[in-house]
Amino acid sequence: MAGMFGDDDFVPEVPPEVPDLKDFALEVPSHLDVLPDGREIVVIGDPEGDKAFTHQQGQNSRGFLGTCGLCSCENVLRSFGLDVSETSMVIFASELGLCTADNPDPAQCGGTSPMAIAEILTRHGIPADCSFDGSLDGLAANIEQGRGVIIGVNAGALWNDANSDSGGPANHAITVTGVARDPSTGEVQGFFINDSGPGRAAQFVDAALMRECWEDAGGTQIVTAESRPYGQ
Amino acid sequence: MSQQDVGIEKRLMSYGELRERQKSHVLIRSEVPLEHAVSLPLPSLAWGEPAYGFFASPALRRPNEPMQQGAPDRWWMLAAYGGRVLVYALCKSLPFPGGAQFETVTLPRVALSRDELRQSLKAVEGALDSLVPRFFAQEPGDAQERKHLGAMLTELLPKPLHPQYRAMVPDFFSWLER
Repeated sequence: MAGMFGDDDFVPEVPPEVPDLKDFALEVPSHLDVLPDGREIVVIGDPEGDKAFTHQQGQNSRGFLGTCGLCSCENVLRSFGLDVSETSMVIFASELGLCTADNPDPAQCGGTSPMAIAEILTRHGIPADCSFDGSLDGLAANIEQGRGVIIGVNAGALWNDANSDSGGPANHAITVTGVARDPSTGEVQGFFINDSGPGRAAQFVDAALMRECWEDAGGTQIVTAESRPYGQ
Repeated sequence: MSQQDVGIEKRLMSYGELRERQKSHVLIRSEVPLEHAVSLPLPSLAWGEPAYGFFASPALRRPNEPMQQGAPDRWWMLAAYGGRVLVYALCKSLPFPGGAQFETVTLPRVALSRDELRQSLKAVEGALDSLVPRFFAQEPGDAQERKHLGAMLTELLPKPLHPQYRAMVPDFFSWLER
């Protein structure tokens, strides 16, 4: 049989041009930092660099204001290198029925369900899925693998504001851009987020607060199947 | 082996269980926008079997500002036994129960702390767990308990939303105020 086949006759299981997830994971940046309370942490991800991908929601040509999910999509897609804006997200989602768009008051429009968020990302070529009952360790692992991650939180808990408290379930979407671990024990200390509600970027959220505002609100997360590039 | 042994006993969900399930219910995953304000579920007998009614409205939230809540744009009923979906409707397709129409409202600033709010909610949950089985059984229940629960709901639910809750489950409020 030797010599009957050339190198081109075999199709490898994984074509060489398709990157392996673990190769991307190695590229997720990390650095040492110190929290305002003096705790040393290892930051995995690029919360500072990812500030560029967010802004306060409501900056779109249709005047939609309920766009935290769409702004989170914009954030993740831009982190994957796509040239999108809040307006392009609003138009795309409106046309496909993936956000609320038929209220006579545009300020009331723009809302998206978790599955619609996953579909918006997927239709932009970034496959994503949504899941529930997530844990802090699982969330950290997703960030450390370089995945794009949007989570559903109880805004009242996140903002410590009873006016925005759902009494339990998630009522706001944000993007997670980094995880902070204790350098000696590896324990999760917290996460960095971009929050289009108040327009905050690279905000540190302590693990206890993340547990309250996210895990206790159902642990909703929309996670990309592939890892994002960094430093481009 | 009895039905109870194989786990098919018909069981009324506790109110806490109902609200916990709500966090990842199939409608919440796929249909209801994350940003929407979802009502507290309240019981009704108007849909063929014991059920809990919900409605959801577009909501604008800003840190430390009162919430603006639009008119409900969807409503649904879950079976009190088992939690399956009995009805889910967009108001544009199937109007809000009773044909009621609402406007955007600005909710009053919440005077309670978040901890106090949680405690109030817990107290209402306890009172509902105690009284709702009587309502579903079409029994009068204890008049004082009914009056107390009515007062707690009046206190907890934002005043501009009272007409929406009453339109959603009028039979429950009639029973409370009997």
